[in-house]
Amino acid sequence: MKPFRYARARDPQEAVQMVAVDAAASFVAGGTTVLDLMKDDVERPSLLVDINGVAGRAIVRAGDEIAIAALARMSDVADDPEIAKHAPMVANALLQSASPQLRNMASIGGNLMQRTRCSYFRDIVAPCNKRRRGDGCSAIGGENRRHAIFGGSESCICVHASDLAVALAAADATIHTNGPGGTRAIQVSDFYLLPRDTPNVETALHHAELISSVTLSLDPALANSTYVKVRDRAQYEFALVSVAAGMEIVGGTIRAARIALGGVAPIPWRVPEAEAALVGRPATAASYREAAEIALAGARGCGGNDFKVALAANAVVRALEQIGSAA
Amino acid sequence: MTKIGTSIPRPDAHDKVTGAALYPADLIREGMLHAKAVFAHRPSARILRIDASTALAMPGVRAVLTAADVPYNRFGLIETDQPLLCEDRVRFSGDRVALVVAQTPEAAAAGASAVKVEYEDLPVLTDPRDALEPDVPRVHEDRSNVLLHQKIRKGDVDAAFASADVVIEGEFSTGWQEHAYLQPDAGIAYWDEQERLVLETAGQWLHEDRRQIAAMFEMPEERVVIRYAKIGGAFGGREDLSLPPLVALAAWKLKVPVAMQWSREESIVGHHKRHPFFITSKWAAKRDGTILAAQTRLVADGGAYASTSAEVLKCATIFATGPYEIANVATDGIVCYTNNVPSGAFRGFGAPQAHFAAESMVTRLAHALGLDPVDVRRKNLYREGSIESTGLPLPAGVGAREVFERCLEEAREVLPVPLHNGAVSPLRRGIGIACGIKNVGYSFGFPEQATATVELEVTPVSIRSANVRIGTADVGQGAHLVLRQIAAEALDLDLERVRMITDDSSEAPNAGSASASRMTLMGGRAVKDACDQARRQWLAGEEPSATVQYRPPRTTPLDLETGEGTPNYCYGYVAQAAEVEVDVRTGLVRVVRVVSVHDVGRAINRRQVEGQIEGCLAQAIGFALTENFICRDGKVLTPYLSTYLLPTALDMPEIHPVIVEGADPNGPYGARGMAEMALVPFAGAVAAAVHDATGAWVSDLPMTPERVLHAIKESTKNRLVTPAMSS
Amino acid sequence: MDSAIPELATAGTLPSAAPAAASILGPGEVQIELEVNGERHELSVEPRVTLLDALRERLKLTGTKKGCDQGTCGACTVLVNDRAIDSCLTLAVMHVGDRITTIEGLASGEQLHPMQAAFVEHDGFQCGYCTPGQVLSAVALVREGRMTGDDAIREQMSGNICRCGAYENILAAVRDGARRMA
Repeated sequence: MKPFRYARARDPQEAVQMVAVDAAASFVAGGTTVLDLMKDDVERPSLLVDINGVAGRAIVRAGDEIAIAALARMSDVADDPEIAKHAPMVANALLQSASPQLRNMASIGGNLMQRTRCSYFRDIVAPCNKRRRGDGCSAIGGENRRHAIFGGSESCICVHASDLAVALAAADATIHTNGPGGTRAIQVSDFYLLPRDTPNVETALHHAELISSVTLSLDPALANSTYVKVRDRAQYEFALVSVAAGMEIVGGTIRAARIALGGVAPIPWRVPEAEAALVGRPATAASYREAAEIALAGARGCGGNDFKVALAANAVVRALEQIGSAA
Repeated sequence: MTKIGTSIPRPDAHDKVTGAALYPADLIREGMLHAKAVFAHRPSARILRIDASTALAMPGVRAVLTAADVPYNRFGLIETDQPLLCEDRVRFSGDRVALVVAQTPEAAAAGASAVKVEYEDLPVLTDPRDALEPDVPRVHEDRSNVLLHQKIRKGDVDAAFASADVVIEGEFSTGWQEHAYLQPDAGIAYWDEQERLVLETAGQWLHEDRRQIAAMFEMPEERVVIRYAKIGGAFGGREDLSLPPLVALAAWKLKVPVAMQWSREESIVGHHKRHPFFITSKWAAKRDGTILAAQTRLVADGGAYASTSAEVLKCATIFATGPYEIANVATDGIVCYTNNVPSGAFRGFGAPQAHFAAESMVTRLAHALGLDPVDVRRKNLYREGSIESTGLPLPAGVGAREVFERCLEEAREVLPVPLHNGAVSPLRRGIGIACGIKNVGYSFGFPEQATATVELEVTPVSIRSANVRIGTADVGQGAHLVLRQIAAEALDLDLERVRMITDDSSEAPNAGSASASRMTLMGGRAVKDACDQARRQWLAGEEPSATVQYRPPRTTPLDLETGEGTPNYCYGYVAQAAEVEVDVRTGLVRVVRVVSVHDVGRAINRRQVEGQIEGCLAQAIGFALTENFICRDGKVLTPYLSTYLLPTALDMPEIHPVIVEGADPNGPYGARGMAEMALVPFAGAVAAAVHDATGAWVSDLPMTPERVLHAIKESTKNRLVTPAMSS
Repeated sequence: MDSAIPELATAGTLPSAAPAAASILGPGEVQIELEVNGERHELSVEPRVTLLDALRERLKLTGTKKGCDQGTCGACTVLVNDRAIDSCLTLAVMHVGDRITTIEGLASGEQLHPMQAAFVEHDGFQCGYCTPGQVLSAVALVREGRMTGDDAIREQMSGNICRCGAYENILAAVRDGARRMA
């Protein structure tokens, strides 16, 4: 790691101010993402502002809403009984992420700010537009087994690394922030940005804008939900493909559906057409298969990842079956 | 007999659970300089210029060493074709071109990134099959890309194919495998008061490390001392010199203590791997299940330097027919240089790759004949006195049939009748069996010996205690405890009265490497013989100490054209049954249960033997399923443990290790080696189980989800040349 | 040195009590106090020094191992305020005021911690390099009441890679260690 300065902020405003005045400053909470990237020389912040002391780590249920403090650790949220009961896809996504130690360290805000696991992005001698715009994308025409089948561009075909973000996308969660311009609330669907020709810009956050909490609006489709993750080993590994899915089923008929895919796109990939196709249909294998095919309709592989199209469709079916039979 | 066969705990257990055990990186002290290598990070290039001036001007940087600083800049276990620091040519991305020595690790790292090297990139050769073509670039200008082409010719395969009832063909490939010993390469080096260059590190063979390092610095071997700290795993990966001579160079040159540690990435990029193989097979059988002929072509990727490629290749070549006696054999084993990471020793040493193809072919033959794969194996398995494909009878103590029958028995107990779950469930279960054979000890005429010294402290009426000197690496397999148990048994002493002196090349004689499953047999026999002789001398009133060199029955090189010779003096035998669950929607394969039956001759420490079976299976699961090492255009794309996936506790099956004891004629108390065996048939057993579950043959390792899905979708590559018999 | 770093504070002290105003420390060495195994240690580290390196190189507590330095193997597992973490992916300066337990702090004198004794009893290792991390993860999972069965043990231990593959014996050791800790 290159040398850098360090400060412990005492409240969110102070943290935001400290980062705001230094274009190369970053926040640090759990550290599991930023320090990893600093060791690989991919990120070189001049100043790390430690936000662990600026706020609490509570997970609070109020009516039909659960608010998760951004500093809550992944394990806190995964272990929370309200989350497990009312938003199982969120708990499942977290429990299938990383390792117990990393879940004890990584904050929810940090998890959402994870960067891609593309091996070229993490290899500073390989060209990568995300690291330096204009250098080219090594994965296009290179090793792209793990790369995007949706949402890629000529400049970047990476996939987003977070499982939690996929569940939150399916859940229509809201991300609350604290920035130099005050506070704001951003829908997850607006939070992550497609690479287009600016793959270096990944989220709607401005410099020095700090995630303060994530809120979930509870509904029956979130309560009857799951997270299916397909990966190369049993645990402690990123998704080849994943599916966050929830359904409200009444009398055998699907009333509402939530589906988002992970491991397939540079952002968590919500599939509204597939959701719409399920509504009003019977909760049967045929409906699930049809929805899966709709979900993957626009997918396009780039060689090494062609298998993901069928794999993701099968994972959608698996997820819907799990919550279809549970309902 | 009280010390043999008992599960005595490791003497270093306390230190290992309290953190007191000192591994190489734990030896680094204040005041030492730190060395950092400058890696080429390009697979093939000419070095035009190395400019160290900026690096040398940086704070804390003490020296930048290059090829010119190495008196004899060549090393290697078999052939010395690898430079310690590259002179004018880079041959793989992990080549080292300079070594920066500085006051702190940070300064050394900053210095290393400031060394400017001008390269002229050269064409890259990355596929060993291309290496055989005439107009491809040469990896080593002065020699062919074919490192070795070993043939075996026995009988007449063409005639056999013409007369056979069934002939099948298959194509297979296996990937690189990274050792990923959890303790990354590290060491310290310094000059001692006796003006000896001392290197404290981890390795697998004290005296060979010493020989190669003394040669590099043109020093007499006695002036180089190698000491092993606790060794955090090896698995063949520390057989080649990687980091140790670099830190030695810095200390030798600068005459001050120097420390060096590799990051995980440096370790993965910088040391050799298991050889990838491309295998094409054509086998024939009679309708009664007799295997008539096996024709196999194995092309291995040797990478940029020779390492132990020639030996691995020869082993793969003799194991291309598995543990089966086949009348007509034609095998072509070819290993080529490429600009990929060098390949070398890894637990199994060529046998797992060859067996994956051979065991798959045997099961497919059985299917083609409409016979039970069990019966076909039973009909063809080696027995006492069987003639190897190399033309001479096997060494005595052939346990192939015994382990196989025992495996079937155990499997009937342990494995349920597989539930295929009809077409309803996407989770399909299947069972596969496979057999294996693997040499114990060095092969093909390579000088094989182990030497031990035993010094007894005696009274007129009893032996009070013993010093056992034997230079051996305990890489975690428990060699030191086994040797101690053997000495205690031979001398009828309590274990506590046997003192082992094992980790210093100047204090203990050469027992050879901790590899080839050889240390229990070779080192154990040397210890036992030295104990027996020291005891006899004491009883005769002579000096109660003895040094004994044990040499096993001799082996010979194989004739390059025919393969004739005596390849080995001892083999271990194994049979496995594996139950898998295949998710036909995701292509994920989970190994549920494994029965692994081993003829170990005699288990000196039963728990350690079982531990070796279980541990070897963990690596076998990696080899077969999860460890997908990617090297593309000469660049390693899986240089981290986040991208190269080692099995976790959750990836492990229920394991039933079974020990069969058919005494080895040469081993101490009948013991023979076993620590590599579980890797040998495993991938073949899993492939058969996947086929049993899904009807699809997966022919490429590792069995990634996409390969499994593809195999399920497509029909098998294996096709019938002549139709299966009609009867 | 990185020219992007302005010449601000190059040294400082991070007290365990909250400062009057957040001070910017580094990039030079910072005086900190760490509580490790019940003892307070004063040390001087640059902000970039990980907790792992501070333990190993400054405090000479080399029982905590570096296997990957990226949170991918678990060899560097320590307990911070009783929770298992990977000490390679956190900075020493971030742990002022925390209670840190390393493998050296588990035994009471010559008396092994019950989990350590169970690992010895069940031969829960081969090379031993991952063992300190395995033992600490096991202690944490028992203390947190996650010992609900073999699958739960495997899950909770899945962040600790054992390349020697001693998983079977580790599982037996954790089961037994939990009984001994009860």
